[in-house]
Amino acid sequence: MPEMVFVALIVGLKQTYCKNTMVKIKKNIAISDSGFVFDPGSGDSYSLNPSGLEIVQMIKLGKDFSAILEAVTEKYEVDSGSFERYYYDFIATLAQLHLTEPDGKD
Amino acid sequence: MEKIKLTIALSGLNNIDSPGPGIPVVRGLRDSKEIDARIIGLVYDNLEPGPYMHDLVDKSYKVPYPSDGVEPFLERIRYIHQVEKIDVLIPNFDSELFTFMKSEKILREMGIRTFLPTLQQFEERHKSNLPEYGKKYGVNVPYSAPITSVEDFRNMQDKFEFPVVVKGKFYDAYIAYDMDQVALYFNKIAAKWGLPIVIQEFVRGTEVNVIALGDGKGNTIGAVPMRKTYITDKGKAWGGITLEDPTMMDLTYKIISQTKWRGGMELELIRTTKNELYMIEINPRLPAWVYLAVAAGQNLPEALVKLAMDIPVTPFTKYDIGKMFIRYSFDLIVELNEFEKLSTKGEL
Repeated sequence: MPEMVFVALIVGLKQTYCKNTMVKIKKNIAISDSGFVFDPGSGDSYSLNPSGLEIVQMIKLGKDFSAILEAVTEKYEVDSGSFERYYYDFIATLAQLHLTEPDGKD
Repeated sequence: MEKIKLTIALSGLNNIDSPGPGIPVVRGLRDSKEIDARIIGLVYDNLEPGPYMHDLVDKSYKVPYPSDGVEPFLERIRYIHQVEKIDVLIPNFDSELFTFMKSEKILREMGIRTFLPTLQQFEERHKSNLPEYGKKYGVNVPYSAPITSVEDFRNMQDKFEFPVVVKGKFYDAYIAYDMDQVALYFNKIAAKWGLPIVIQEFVRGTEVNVIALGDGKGNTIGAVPMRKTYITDKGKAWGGITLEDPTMMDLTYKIISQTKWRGGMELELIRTTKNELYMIEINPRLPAWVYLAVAAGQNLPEALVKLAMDIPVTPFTKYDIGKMFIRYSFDLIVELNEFEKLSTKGEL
């Protein structure tokens, strides 16, 4: 099984999301199949690695943490504790880059 | 559709590291499906690249600097007009706008059309008048004050906190972190652009810009917001990207509608981390990155010429978001005889 790797993990970033929060990617954010992310509001762009792209696509489909956890642990060799940590670090990074709706708002 | 043949004279052909808008304006006109333009370059310096770019500029004439006075300038335009029969003239430098606005009626009588802001519009948006402008039109602006000596600033220092921005009346801006730097930049800018110098509160954030064109009746003909993605040491955009930003667009519509702005403009804005927009400057002409707007679907140079010619223009309603430009330098090879012609005869 491939190893789980996430994009741009920021060590020590404070956890800002609680487990029950439904994360929503802002509607105007463009994400291509290659993992290229474009924020038309700021003009900034980012690159996601394949694992990051998979997670973002699942978030865009409206999946919550438990659904994503299930899908990922089934496909990849990662324990749920580690994934949870990686996941919320990743979500915090997305929030810091203003790519998610604040407080899960639509 | 048959294109309208027009002779268009313009300045700002210094396509250098701090470029004038002339060449990008010409590129827009060359892209036009409605206008077949003969381009006449108005040149201040023999080493401006524009006159040697023969695929873009058909003929160039040296003109005296506006600081030499209105009469010598008009006399030269009269001569050029006699030879070329200019239909529309587009000045692209802030420093020459006053001369052209003052001469608008005379030019019109000669048969030359322009599409410029009114003197009142031009004057009230001056950097030194920005606080009043902000108050009058309900726009956030940083506090600023004009000074004519460093001593002036010492006397009003309690109104500012360092760093401050030291700005020239037409061009140049530096961030000063202490009194010594204020004095240094004051002298540097004053020697180049004269007085007053404007001291402006430093607003921290991201610089964003809007290019726009007003029809003089309060309507916005076109507007495209952009963020500089690569900035040179002179603060000029070496790269940029068009944005989707309804707040910036609303602000532009508001300013154009309230001021009934006539002609091209560039709004320089700072977006703070709290997402507030501060207007730091209004440039009263199309900026050097105008070709990005053309590429994004709004040919503003073409629209400006049509407005000058009283040809009806339908306002643009959309543009491509995420369109980028990357500026590049290019060594233009020039034959000595061409340089000789422009230097000695003042024509090329």
